[in-house]
Amino acid sequence: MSLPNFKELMIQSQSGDQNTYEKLLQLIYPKVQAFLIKKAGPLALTDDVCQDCLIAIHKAKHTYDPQKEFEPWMYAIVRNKLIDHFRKNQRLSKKEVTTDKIDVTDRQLHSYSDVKEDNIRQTLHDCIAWLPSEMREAVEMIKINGHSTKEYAELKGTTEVAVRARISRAYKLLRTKLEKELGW
Amino acid sequence: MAGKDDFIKGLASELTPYKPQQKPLVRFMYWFVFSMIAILAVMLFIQNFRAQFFSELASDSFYFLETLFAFLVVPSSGVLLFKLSVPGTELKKSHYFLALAPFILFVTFVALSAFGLVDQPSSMDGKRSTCMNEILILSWLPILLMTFHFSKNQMHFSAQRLGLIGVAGASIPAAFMQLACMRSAEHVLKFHIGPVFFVVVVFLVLAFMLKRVR
Repeated sequence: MSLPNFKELMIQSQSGDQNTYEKLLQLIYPKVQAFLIKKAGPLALTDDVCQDCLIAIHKAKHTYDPQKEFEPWMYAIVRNKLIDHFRKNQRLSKKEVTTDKIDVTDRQLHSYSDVKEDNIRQTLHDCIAWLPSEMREAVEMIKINGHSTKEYAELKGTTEVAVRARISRAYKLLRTKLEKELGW
Repeated sequence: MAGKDDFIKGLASELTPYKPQQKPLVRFMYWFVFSMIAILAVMLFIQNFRAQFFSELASDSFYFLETLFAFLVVPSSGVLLFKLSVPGTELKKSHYFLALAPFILFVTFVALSAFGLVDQPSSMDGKRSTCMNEILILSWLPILLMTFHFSKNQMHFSAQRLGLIGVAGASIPAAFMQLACMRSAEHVLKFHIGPVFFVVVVFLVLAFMLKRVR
């Protein structure tokens, strides 16, 4: 079996051939996944990071020069996305407070966490309600009611990438608002 | 893996015919011409250029070379930046050095005059009271265009890239100041080259912060 020629597939995709493009994405998916595992070990969110990488490749497809090799171009984008992922996690982990740093008894901890959990739930609810209507709807439909991005995109007559971008923006807003409200 | 397949199908369904982006040199030309014209227009709107700059360029070879190097900074660093904006482009350290060589020569020429090692005339004719502010403010246009281009191409802002963006962007108004503002090496060093270094330092700090918190 001959090795897939990514370069050829990418060149054919430029004419808008969706089948070829799908084939290309199917072929590079395991390569991206293997690269991520090789560089970072099995990540908890390998599939999410892998999908983010594919979205980045999709967005940057116009930057591919058909006269050059495909793989160095692809891996450069994947590497950038992996670095993004680590930076995001680094920032989040700095804000995490582990329970071993809290000096309380088990009983105190339970009552504290119950109150805290209710408080967080209520604040989260308020924050979602505070989001702009389009974002709120997207978050509620996909993250709470369990619809897929595809279903929601079809329902709203938009693209999946646009829905993902909307969800991502909503998360950013929610994160900022929650940090402010909960003092994290 | 239905999730993966659905995701790929969804992504592929969004494909429409597209053209690969133009060569780095062509993209650089758009950026260069637009930035130069915009900055030139604003500078002329604020105040006319020094009246005798043309005759000085024609008669003084040292000043001509100094000005030439000042203007060469923009294409040398700009072309490199547009090459770097393509994912997967690997460049050698020597490319960075070559890109910065005109800037180093420009600073060296001005420093030689400023410290009295080369005798150069100095005059207050055409003095612009806002030259430093103009450089600091006008440099943002090419810088923002360049950073937007990098983000669009899914590229990262490393310290080298951000530093180089600072040099390329701030050098456009700084180079025009060679013709627009008073002729005094000490003034050029402090108020024309100083802001370029300031912008570069700001961008290096930004690069450091991005690495930590982005």
